Amino acid sequence: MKRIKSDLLFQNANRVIPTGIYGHMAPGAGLPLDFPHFCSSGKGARFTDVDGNEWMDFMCGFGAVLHGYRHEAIEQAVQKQRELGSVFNQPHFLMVELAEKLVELIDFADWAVFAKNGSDLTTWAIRVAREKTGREYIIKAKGAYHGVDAWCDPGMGGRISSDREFVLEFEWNNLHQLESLLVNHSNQVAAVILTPYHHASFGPSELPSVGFWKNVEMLCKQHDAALVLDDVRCGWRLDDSGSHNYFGFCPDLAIYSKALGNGYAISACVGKDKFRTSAADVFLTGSCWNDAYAFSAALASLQISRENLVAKSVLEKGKYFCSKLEEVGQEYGIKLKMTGVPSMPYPWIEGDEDLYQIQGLCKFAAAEGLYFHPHHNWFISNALSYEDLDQALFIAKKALGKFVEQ
Amino acid sequence: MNDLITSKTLPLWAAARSIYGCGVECLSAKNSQSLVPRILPSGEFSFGTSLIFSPKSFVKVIEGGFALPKIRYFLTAPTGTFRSVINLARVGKAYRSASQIKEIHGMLNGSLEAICCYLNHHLVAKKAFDDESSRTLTFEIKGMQRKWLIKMDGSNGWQVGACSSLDRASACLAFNDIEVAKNAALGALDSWLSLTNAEIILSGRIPLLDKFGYVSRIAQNEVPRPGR
Repeated sequence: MKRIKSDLLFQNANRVIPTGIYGHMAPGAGLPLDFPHFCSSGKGARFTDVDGNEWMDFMCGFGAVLHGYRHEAIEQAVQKQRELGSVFNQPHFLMVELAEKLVELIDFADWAVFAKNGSDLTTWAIRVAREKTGREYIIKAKGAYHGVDAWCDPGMGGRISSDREFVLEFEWNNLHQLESLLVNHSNQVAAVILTPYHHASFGPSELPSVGFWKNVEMLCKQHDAALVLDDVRCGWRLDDSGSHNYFGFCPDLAIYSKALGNGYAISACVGKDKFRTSAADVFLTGSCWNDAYAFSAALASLQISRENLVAKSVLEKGKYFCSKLEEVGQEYGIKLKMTGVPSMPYPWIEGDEDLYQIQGLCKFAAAEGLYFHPHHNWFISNALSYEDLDQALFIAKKALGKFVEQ
Repeated sequence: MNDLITSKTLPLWAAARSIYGCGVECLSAKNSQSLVPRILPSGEFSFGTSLIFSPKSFVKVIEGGFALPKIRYFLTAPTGTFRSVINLARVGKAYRSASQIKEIHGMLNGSLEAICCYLNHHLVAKKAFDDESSRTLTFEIKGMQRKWLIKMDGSNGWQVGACSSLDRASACLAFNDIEVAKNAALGALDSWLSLTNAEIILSGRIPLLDKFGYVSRIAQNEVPRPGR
């Protein structure tokens, strides 16, 4: 892959932006010598980098794009709104329309609020739970990502010892540990915040064991702790009405973002009626949060998801792709297992705890124009056709062959 | 010894270990022994058995190349003290010129020693790896056989050592050439840019290297070094 402009641009970026590119898109988090640093455009399931290389995409803007880049119906809806304006002195009326849509779609939801990023509302949701319960502690799964705030971020800088004083952790699927924490901190736990399944980076995803969610729900009820679902990454990729339906449980509060706006920045928190007053008492605002472009994008995105049964579609496409890719791995003697749910699989090679093999494999895939990430779960775009998937499998086979040969 | 290593003494203790680490690579085994550092209960820093500096003088030695040690040992143990002085000067020269491969190896070894001090004693740094099940990292210069391994060794804490062919680390940092390694040891490398232009190649369990990088930046910011 040609990479000249990307490198030059990174040099410029590094002069004016600390680390050049930060967070999960930082070069060091992926394959700094193989992935491009900057993109220029995208359409459907492909994007083009600044050097003009076209990539078949399996990351979807790290999950922010579900229906494909520049989906026509969404772009039309946003274009229509562009002619009217984005941010005003009062919220645009589309905010109400979107809240009504979410309350209609999500069975337990009685209200909705909006922000820009998942973190804005995961942090707000635990404050709502604290307000409601008058308690301090939050329980989360060890290694789970819930955003950039100091109580949960995966970084190390800028933290003080009190940041996590009231955050407790248990191993995913370990109900005994969770129960112990609730018992040992009786009447002190405000909320248990969890993702629908465990999709930590740098390790295989873990699905909930049988009965896990029902037991979590029961334990939260028993201990009067709010059950907060961080559905930021999974939302609309497992079920068109929230991932709790996929696993059969009912949270008290849930947070969505990423796919909700199909690339337009928006996040939402929905909740049960019993949290309405507490929600009203926890301050929430942002200068550009009442962004009508994002509201219009989200409304269009939700409509597409519902009309086209998109969650089912990406799950099926993912299942097809993952099983075939595992077969290709087997052909070459690589014990590749696509973990997690098929619409957002994490590639794991047995015995590769230190990730050397998956990094090698993804490097060869990158050389062929496949954007396979070695450290993060992938995302299946609904813009990928079965022909695209076959093409990706063909290329992946070639890449695997070269990897094994090496 | 550990009680004497506090947030106040840690930067100088790391510098002292770094000097020793450099000496191990650049000097003979006998000579490097004359640079084994200690912190004395008085808060002074000693090398070998008899070369002793006050913290203030030690900073001067590192940053300016010269300072007067405690003079009394020149009289009571002149040979040992003199040997330590000479070897300290040799290490200083290695840091300043760094023209030979063994000198650059020495600087690299010294840097790793300093970072291990932080991993062992710095309040934030020593917790950085709490969540990691594996704690071994290798460092290498492409095209060279010499490799370094740092690992958490139970109650001994983080240690730097040579990497044998049997050692399997969870993550690896490779410098593209000796010049890059030298710049890294001098703290003169832009690590983010280096990652994208192949001066530095990371592989394996990246979070380990991320954390190592964070701790190395803390150390780089605090530990006095030549010409600062």
